[in-house]
Amino acid sequence: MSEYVLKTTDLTKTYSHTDVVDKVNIEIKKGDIYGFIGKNGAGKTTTIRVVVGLASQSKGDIELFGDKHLNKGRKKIGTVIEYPAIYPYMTAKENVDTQRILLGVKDKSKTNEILDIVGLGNTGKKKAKNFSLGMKQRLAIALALIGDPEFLFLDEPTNGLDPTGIKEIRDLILKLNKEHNITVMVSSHILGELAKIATRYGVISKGKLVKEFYANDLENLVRSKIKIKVNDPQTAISLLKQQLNIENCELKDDTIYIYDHLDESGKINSMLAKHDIIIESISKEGDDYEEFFIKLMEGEVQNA
Amino acid sequence: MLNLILSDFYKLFKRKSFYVCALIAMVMSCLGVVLLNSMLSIGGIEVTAKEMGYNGIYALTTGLGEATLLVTILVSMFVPSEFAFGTIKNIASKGISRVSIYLSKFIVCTFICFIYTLLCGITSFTLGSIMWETGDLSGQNVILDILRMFGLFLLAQLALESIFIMVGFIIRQTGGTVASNLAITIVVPGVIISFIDFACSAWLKIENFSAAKYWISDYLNSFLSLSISQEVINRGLIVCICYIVASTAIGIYTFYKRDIK
Repeated sequence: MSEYVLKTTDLTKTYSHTDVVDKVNIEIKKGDIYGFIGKNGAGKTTTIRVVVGLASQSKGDIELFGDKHLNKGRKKIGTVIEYPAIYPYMTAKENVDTQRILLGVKDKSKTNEILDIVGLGNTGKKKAKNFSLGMKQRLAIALALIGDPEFLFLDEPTNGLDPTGIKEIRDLILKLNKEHNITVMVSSHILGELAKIATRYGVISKGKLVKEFYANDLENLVRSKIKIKVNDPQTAISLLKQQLNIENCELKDDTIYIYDHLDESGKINSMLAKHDIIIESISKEGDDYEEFFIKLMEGEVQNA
Repeated sequence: MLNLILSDFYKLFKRKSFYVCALIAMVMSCLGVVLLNSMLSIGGIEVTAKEMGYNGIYALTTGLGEATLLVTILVSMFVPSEFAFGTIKNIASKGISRVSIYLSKFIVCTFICFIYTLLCGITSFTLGSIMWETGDLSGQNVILDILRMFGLFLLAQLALESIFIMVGFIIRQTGGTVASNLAITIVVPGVIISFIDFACSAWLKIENFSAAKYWISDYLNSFLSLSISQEVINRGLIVCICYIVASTAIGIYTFYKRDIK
């Protein structure tokens, strides 16, 4: 069985001669919480809609669970796209029952079990139209969970929620991932929230996937550092280690990154100059998640 | 497909509007019969119901027709509601084919047609029988004639509903679908048919052409009789089946081709 639950190859969706999704190659491994990041209109929702079968692709390939027979794979996914798609005239239980019957799940106890997972087990006869937005969102997730999906698509699940609601959804996603082994793709433009749960990220801008990286890499990408460009980086990095005892540094693409001694850029500068190293540039860098993602979405740190 | 149909029926039975519209249809059937009774003394000339040929069977033929409006309203609300609530995404994203989704809705709407027509028929027949008399049910073919009338009327009604289902899948909004479908029931027979007749006779010089023969409304009326000529039955069957097949094919095609927002 493929290690990827989703793999797209040059996925393209064209509306009126414009590629709103442009040759997107996404790879999501089993167990990932994949944060799909992009500004409004970047192509997140369209990509998800194409993958789950609500819109047809113009070009490219999609594989779900290593299989190009998509309708088979789609039976193993759950979706919440854009806003909670629920029947307002029904109770939470009736809503879940509708989906349970649709998917042929005979075990009626599944309904209560899933409502308990999303924390709506005690809503009784209250109609869904009277639910708060957070409750509606959780009910929509409950509908997506019927049929024991292996892969969950959550498109902007925290939209319009207050901080408590956002935390509830975040905790729920983590619970589903850790306790129920569900791979999750979460799209959002609320970046700080994604940074708390995602294990892997994909950043989409103007229909193009501009960067994919793991959460571990994110720490390095956003952490404060001194960035130095010199004429002889190999010698320079040896000198840094020998002369200033700097160990937490690395050489990447002929650029030296130093992650500690951040207040000693002057000392570093003079030491390198003393050893005839020509310094082309030395600067201090570092973002918070929000700034980093915004730069990514705007294409400023494409090669970070 | 069976699960999809069962799920659609579950949604239908959970809708208050299903019961409210059924109740209104039955009340309208009763009012139709009461209205017939009031006509017995029009113009100061008293005639008996027996002289007018009124009985339960006659009330049945008038009561069935009351179902059409309420079926139109319910179908126009039920079909596009999946799009309005966004719940169509929960179905279509599960790898269920668009054809199955469309046909499931068609089957449920057929049930709505059947049950509403049946309820209106039973209501009007019962009330007519109480007010006047049952009518002679012992005749050789009376029951068969009633069943034939019921079946033909149901078919004509279904032909109309198949257009409404198609409109629901194209417009995808409850308000727009209800308005469009009510307009179809009023504008097509009232304006378009008359215009086609006029165009044929005045501009194309085609004499004796009646566009009404090719529209369903004509058969919704003419099928409500126990004695219908075979020619009308044959023509009506062909027209109704053509409308069902054509509108279902167009509806499925457009649903299949268009993305779900």
